[in-house]
Amino acid sequence: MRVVTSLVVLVLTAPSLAAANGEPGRGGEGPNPLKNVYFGEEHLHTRNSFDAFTIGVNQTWDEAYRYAKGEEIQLSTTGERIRKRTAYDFVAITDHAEYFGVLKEFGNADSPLADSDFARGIVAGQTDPAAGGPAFRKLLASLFASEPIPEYATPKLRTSMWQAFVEAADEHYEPGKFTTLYAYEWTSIPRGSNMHRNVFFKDEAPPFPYSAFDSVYPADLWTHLEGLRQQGIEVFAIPHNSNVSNGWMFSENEFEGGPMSARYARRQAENEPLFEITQTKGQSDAHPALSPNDEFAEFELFDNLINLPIQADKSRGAFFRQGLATGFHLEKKLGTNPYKMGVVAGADFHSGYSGNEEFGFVGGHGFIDDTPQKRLNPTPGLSGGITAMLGSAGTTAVWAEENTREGIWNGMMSKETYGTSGTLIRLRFFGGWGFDDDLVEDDDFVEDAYEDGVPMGGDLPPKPRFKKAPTFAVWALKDPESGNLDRIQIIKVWAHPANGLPMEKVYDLAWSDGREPDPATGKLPPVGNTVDLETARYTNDIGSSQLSAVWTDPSFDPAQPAAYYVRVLEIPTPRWSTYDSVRNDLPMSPHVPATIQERAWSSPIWYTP
Amino acid sequence: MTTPDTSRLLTTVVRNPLVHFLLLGAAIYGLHAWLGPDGEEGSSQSRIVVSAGDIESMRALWQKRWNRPPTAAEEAGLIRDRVRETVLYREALAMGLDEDDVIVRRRLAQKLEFLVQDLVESIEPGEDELRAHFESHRADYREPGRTTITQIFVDPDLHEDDTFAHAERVGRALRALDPPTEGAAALGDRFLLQDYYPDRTEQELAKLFGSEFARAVEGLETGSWRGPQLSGYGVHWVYVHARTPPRDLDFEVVRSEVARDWQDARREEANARYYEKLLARYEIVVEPPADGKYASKGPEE
Repeated sequence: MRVVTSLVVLVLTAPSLAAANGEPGRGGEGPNPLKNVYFGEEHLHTRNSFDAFTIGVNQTWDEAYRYAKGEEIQLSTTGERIRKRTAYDFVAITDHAEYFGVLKEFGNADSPLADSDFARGIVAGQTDPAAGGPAFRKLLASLFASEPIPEYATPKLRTSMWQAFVEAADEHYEPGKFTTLYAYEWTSIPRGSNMHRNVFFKDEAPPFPYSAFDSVYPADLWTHLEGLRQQGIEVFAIPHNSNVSNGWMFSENEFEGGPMSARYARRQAENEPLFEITQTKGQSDAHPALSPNDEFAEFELFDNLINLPIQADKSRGAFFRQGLATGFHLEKKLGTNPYKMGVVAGADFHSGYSGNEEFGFVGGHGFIDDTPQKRLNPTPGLSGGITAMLGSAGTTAVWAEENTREGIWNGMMSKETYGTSGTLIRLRFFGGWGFDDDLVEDDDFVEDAYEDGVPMGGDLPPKPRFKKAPTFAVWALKDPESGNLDRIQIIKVWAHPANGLPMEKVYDLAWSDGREPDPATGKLPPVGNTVDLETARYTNDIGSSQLSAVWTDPSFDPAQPAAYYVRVLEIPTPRWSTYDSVRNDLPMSPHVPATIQERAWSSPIWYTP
Repeated sequence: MTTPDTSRLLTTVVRNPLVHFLLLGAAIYGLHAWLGPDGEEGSSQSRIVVSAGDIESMRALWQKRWNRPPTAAEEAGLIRDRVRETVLYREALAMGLDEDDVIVRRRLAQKLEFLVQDLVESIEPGEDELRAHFESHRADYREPGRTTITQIFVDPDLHEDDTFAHAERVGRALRALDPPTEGAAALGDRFLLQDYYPDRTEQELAKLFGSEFARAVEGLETGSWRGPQLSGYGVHWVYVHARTPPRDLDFEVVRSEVARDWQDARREEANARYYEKLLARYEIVVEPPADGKYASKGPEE
C-alpha cells in the first residue's frame, strides 16, 4: 500500500521540477539541458610525480580518487587518517609527464628500477633529505636542462606507466556519479619562468604524455595537441601559476621570441581555453600593486612576488586580470584574442589528496608541511619561503548536462566554469541585452536566461541597435559547510583605447545585511568579522545564504571590447593556519592573515563591438 | 594464520630499506631524521659540520626556487640558519625538551608506527581469506540507501527575527496540503536549489544541503512534513516520499575493496603485534593520582 502511495506522490510532485530555480532537471536521470554544477579537482599530484616522491609522498592514484569520493585515507607521510566532509564530483589527477610514474618504482624492492645508486639515493632522501643529496642533484640537473636520464625515460616506461594511470582512471570512473579525467602536467620551466600546463582529454587517452623533455616551448606542445586532434583525440591545455611566470604567461610576445603573430594568437586561443586562477602556490587573479582600488586583491599571494619587488615590465603578464586586457590589446592588432580564457582552480598539492576544505588542510607537500609545527614554522625554509603562506586547495566548478567525461569536458571546453578558493559556492551568471530587472525572481530564471542570453564563458550576442548597455544576471548560493556570503561583484576589464594598458573597475552588485555604500567614496563597508581567534570559531550571524542581482553596466562604451567576470566573497572565516594554531596550541603565524574571505571567480562574459 | 605470513614478512623486512631504520630502534631513527647528517659527522657534541654536499644541496634548492644561484651573502645566511637550527636542536635535545613535548613524542611514535605498516604491503590474501573477511564485514559492503524528498526553504535573511515564527506558519500550511506536496513550492522562499530530489544517498544530499541536514533527513519518518530542519542555508521543511534501504552487494562486485580492507586489517594487526612485543620489554607503572581515584575503572594492568 505504501508503495502505491509513494508512486502517486511521485507523479503528483513531478510538475514542481519545472518550477525549480537553480538546477532544474537535476532531479531526473540523464542529461539536464539546463545544466547542473559539478565540483572537482583540476590539478593534483600523487607519488607518480617525481617531485612528490622525493618529498616522501607515497599516495597512490587509488587513494587520491577515494579521498575525492569521500572515503577515508591515510596520509602517506604521517599515517594521519583524513576524510573530506563534502565529496567531489570529478577529479583530474595531473602527475608530471617527466619521469611519469617512474620514481615511485624506486620504493618497490621488486622493481628492477630500484637497483641503482640513483634509486637508492632518492629513497634515502625520502626520510633524510640530506642523504638524498647526490641523487637529488642529478634529478634537478636533468629537469633544469630538460634532458632525461635515459634509463628512466625509455619509451617503454613512458607508455606502460601512462597505461597504468589510464587503467586506474577507468576503474574509478562511474558515469553519472563520479568522473575521472585523463590528464597530466607538462612541466616546462625554461629560463626559470613557470610555463606549466595541465593537459586534459575528453574520452580517449593518448599513447603517452608529452613532456618538457620533448620540448619546453608552448608552441611545440600545441603542435603535439593539434596532431592528436587530427587523430580524433580531443584535448586542451590549462596554464597555471602565471603569478610566478615572470610575466610570460600573458605576454605580448611569443615565448620563442619576437612579438606575437596572428597565428600564434590563434593557436594559443584554440589550445588553451581556460586558466587556473588559484591553487596552493597563490592566486593569479590580481595583485594589490596592480589593482590598488580593489581592496580584496590582497588574498593568498605567493611569497615569490612579495619577496621580489614587482618590476612594472614584468607585472603585466603575471595576473589573469591584466591578461584579459592584454588579450583585447592583441586582438586589435592580430584579429584574435589569445587570452580569452575561462576560469578554473585546483590544488597542485603533491601529497595526493584534494585539500580544498580549509578546516581539513593537513599540508600539501609531503614531509615539508605534514605537521602543524612545520606548517607554522616562522623561520624561512632553505629557499627563503614561509611554509604558512602556502594555501589550501582551489576548486573547479563546471556547469554540465551530466557528470560524465563528455559532460565535464564539454563544460570546460565551452568555459561554462568557475574557480573557487576551495569553498563550494553555487554560482549562476548570465549576460544579455534585455534581461528583466526581476529575472532572478522568476521561477523560470535559468531557462529564460539561457534563451535570452549567454552563460559564463560566453560571448554577448551582437548589440541590438535599440539597446544601450548589456545586462547581467547573477545568483550565488553559499557552501552549506562554509561561511555566509558577503557580496557579489562584477569586475569589468578592458584595454585603454589609446595605449592598450589594462583597465579595470570593480562593481558591488548585491550584498548582505542592508549595508549602505559610503556616500563619499562609494565603497561598501566591510561585512564585519565574527571569527574568535581563541577558538577558531565563527558565526553566520552576518552575511547571507544567497545573493542575487540583475545589473546593467552604467558606463558602457559600445566601441570598447570588454570582459565581465563575477567575484563572490564570503564573510571572513579562519584560515587553515588559524585552525592549526588553535588545535595545537601553537602561536599564530605572523606572516599570514588569521582570517580570509573565501571566494569564487567566474569565467568572464565578453563583449566585442 | 601468522605462520605462513611470517616468512614472507621476514623476506620483506630484509629487502625493505625502511626496515633498517626500524632495527636501529625508534630513538636512533628519530635522531637520524631530525638531525640529518650533522649528527653523524659531528661525533663530538660540540662539533657542527656543514659539508660541501650540504652547501651544494642548499644551492640547488635555492636555484630551484629563485631560478638563480644564491649570492655570497644569501649563501652565508643559509649556512648561518643551518648552524643555528642545529645548535638549538642539539641544546634542546640535551635539555630533554623532546621528552616533555607532546607533539614531538606523538610525531616520533606515529612515524615508527607508520613504518611498521609498510611491512604487510606485499602480502597477497587467498580467496578463502577474502571471502571470510567479506562475510564477517557484510555491513561495510552495502549499496547505500536512497531517499526521495521534497524540501521547502525559509530564508533567514528575508525573515530575520521572525524566521522561526514564519517557519511554523509555513509548516502549518504545508500540513494542510492535500495531496501533501502539491503546491508546496509556492509556500517556500526563492532558493537556488530545487525542491524535489528523488533517490538520493546521504552523501548526495550532503553535497546539496550539507552533512548536518543530510544526516538529519536519514532519521525522518516518511509520509509527513517534518521540520523545522536546519541546514547551512537556513530553515527547511522536509517531506520524505520514500526510502530504498541499503542493499547487500555480491562479493565479486566489491572484491577489490575487500582486498584493500583485508590488507588494512592485517596492517593493524601487525602494528598491534609489534607494539605487544615492544611493550613486553617494559615494566609499566601507573601511579594513582593524588586523590587516589581513577577517572575510569582504573588501569587495566
